[in-house]
Amino acid sequence: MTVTGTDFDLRRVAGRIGAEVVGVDLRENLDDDTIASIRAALLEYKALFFRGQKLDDTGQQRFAARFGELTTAHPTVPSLDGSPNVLRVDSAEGRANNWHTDVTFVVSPPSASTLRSIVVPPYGGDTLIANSAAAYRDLPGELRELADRIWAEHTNDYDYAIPPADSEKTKAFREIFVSRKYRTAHPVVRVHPETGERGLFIGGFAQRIVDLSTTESRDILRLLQAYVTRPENTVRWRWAPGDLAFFDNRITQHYAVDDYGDLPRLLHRVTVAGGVPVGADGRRSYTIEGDDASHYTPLAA
Amino acid sequence: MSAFSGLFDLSGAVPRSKGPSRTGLPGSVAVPVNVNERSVTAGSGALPTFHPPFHQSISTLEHLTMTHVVHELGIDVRPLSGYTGAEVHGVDLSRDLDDQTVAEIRSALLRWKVVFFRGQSIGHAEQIAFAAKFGELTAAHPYEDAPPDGFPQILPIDSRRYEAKFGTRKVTYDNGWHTDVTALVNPPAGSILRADIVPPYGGDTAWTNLVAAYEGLPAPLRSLADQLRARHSFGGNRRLFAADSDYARRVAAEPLVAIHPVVRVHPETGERALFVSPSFTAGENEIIGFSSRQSRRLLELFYEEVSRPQYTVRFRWQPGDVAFWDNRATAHLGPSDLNHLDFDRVLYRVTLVGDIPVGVDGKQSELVTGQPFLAGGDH
Repeated sequence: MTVTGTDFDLRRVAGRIGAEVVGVDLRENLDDDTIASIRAALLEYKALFFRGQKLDDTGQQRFAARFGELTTAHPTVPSLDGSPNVLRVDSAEGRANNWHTDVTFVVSPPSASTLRSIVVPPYGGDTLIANSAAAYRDLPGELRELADRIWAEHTNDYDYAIPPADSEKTKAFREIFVSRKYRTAHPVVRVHPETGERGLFIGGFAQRIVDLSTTESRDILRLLQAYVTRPENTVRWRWAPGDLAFFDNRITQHYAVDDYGDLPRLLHRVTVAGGVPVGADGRRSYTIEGDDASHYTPLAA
Repeated sequence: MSAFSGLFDLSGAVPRSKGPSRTGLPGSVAVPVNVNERSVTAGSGALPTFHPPFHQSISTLEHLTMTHVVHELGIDVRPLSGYTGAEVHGVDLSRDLDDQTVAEIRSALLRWKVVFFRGQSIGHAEQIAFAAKFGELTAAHPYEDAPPDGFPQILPIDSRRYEAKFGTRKVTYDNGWHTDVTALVNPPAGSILRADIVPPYGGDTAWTNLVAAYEGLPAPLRSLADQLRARHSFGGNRRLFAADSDYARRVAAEPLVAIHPVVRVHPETGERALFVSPSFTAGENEIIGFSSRQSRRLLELFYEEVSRPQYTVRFRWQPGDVAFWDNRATAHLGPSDLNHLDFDRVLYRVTLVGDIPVGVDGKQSELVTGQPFLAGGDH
């Protein structure tokens, strides 16, 4: 059955980012108007939350695919068995308690990510999401001009998802994570392809600034990153099973809070393919090391 | 499935907001979308609250079961994050609480550092009576000169009066991480904050667990911190108020400065807490015996530790909610995400008289200027 003209509610969550979408059952075959409204809300609020959905993997993929072609699960990490577009985000295999934007080490990072909670701890394990456009607007003019001109190298080859100590399983995961190495140069300020908004496009995979030393790179990235992680630019989502978070990966960063000890936490992620980022000067991102990741994401035209 | 439907069914939970669509992209909004854009006042009908079940480690939705842990004595403690914060259910703060309930609340407070009571219907008098179960109350604040009539212990945190009071528009007293009034030689032992008017979104408060932050330090850094003392002063370099306001003149006329151990031994639990309070340790040379540069770098290191997301909880207020925190083991952060929005936010705070902190070496804090802040405004 096609649901037409769904009249849903948006309940904003924090002052600068996040809205809960109420009144939409994602199992339904949503009509184009409803999808357009969800897309508009995503562009404005950057992160949307759908509580208590009863989606399965198929339903999550079908919903995500309404917003564009899907990527496969991950450039290096195998997908869930039988579901090439679904990535398991499993606490036993590593914890992303690090601000990051998904898969920015490839030249065409996903445009949007959906995360669906399957097992969550009774408390703890929240996800923080930051509005990197608000961070850019917070910069003093001089820093904005600096940021507009610099580029950063993003790589998967560093200690991103730090495994719990002494776990063979997680060592193996780490080996898989860096089984292909990628290094990509992206503009530090990305112009959003749909809204034209500028956002700081850095985060955990950005390990250095092009043409600067390690020390200078670290200082500048830390300075800019501090604006992204300001509490007023973030929203904190407390998961219940069956929630779906949907965020614009072109203009957000996120962080999985690692405060739940050995309790299990499992989410499934499906991402929508994205284009090659463009900087304030109109230049496009380029690959420094690694393949074009065409096994992962459709090549941009 | 029926348990699932019951828990998550939001249909009809709230009247829909009236305001216009605010998706901000004219032409691309295809269906009507309602957005919450009204302030929420106690008694006017709250936003929906959603309380996830205590136990959610399930393998499939079909197996979802509700297994709240209900204490034998009747209060129901539902932790909100891995280290910090718990909601306490089953307590009506408008009633006279028996000793066992008070002991249970105290125990939850010592364990979780901040506890929350949702949707209470109480006023100033009941808030004061509740606080008095846990200790003597201070006056509202060392620099407060206009508490509500008849309630000298109540500190209003009222966005509507801040412009007149501080000479600057703001929604919260202090929007940096801080522990309440650590410029005093005896900072309050606990604070109890009640929400009256809250914005429809935004305006959250965050708390962090200073004991967890201390325990998370590598051992050599713990040993270093154990030996340090720092100067806390009111105002610091974070401009809380305009320099030409009456408030600034009052602070200048009666400055408050104290020297506290950087690691405080908690008088009830014996736990060690990383007792830095960024808003009050923001000047130069704050760590005693260190250069300005060394002091700043060490403090930045500690601030980064205390503000790590895993030690924090972020609380979204509804009218009538009450937060009670252990001011000896927490720091908190008021909101900065409302300054561009035209919402009112009104909360009322009371504080409990605190003892003088003691460091790992057994030495007490030192008073530099000002007076200890003792019981005030008793009637």
